[in-house]
Amino acid sequence: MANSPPPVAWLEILAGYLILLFMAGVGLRLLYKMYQNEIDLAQLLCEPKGKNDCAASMSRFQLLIFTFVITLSLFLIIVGNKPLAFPPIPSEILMLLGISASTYAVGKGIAASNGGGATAVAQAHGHADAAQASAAGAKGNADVAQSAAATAQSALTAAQKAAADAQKAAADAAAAVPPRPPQV
Amino acid sequence: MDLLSRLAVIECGGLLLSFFGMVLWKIAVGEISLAGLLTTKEPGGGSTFSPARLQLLIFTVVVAGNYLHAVLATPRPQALPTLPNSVIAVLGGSHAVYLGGKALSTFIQPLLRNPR
Repeated sequence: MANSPPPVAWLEILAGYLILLFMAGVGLRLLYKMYQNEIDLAQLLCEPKGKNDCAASMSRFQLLIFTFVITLSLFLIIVGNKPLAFPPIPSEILMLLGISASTYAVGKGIAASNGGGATAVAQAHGHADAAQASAAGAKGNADVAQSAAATAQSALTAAQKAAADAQKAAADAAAAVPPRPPQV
Repeated sequence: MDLLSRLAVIECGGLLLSFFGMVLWKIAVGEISLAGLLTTKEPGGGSTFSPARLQLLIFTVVVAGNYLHAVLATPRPQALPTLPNSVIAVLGGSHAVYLGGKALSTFIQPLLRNPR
């Protein structure tokens, strides 16, 4: 009984085992969901480009790499310490992670701003130019149609005049022919 | 308490390696796509090769690899290895170039293509 830990120590050990069990359950559940694609990692490095398209983002990729490397290093150093102890983190590493995370955040901001309207302005200018060209084309087409209508009108007038002339000639011809004598 | 510590190390190591392994495996089989990692989008909708992204990738891989090597090469490190300030400065510059290129292609190029 002299070597057995005091009750508070037993409580600590019990809490430790419970925390380990909880972490294992959560971790394994997350891994299973990732494996089954219920947690979809396909968009992990993806940044929207255009309406429905997206492409891998360098800012996300570098953040992933630095996170992996620093985490793995920290774990190796904790495990290497006897007894296990959390090592101090140098300010240079904090700066490195800060630069990496800031780049991710700023890159995300730039992508989300979509050019602060610059792209939209350029597209609007393009649409305005296209509309102007279309209006000029439509005006040309209207001129051509107007000229064709005038031509058709003059052709119709000429045809009417020719028909009237033909009708008059037929009447003159009919008047010039003498009546046929009655047959016996 | 010794057993608890050992179990904690095994569990944390296993979970850490499993998470990293899952991400790396999905990258390797193409479920996490790396397409377009080194290209930047054009205002017209196309995409072109981006040197700013390439230099950031190179600096990232070199610095991360160097750091991991420093950790693994030290027999029993008591603390995380530090990085020289020059390396931090170079990496910061590399990130600044990348962000500058990204801002240029997003904010300036659309206006230069249609200067009205």
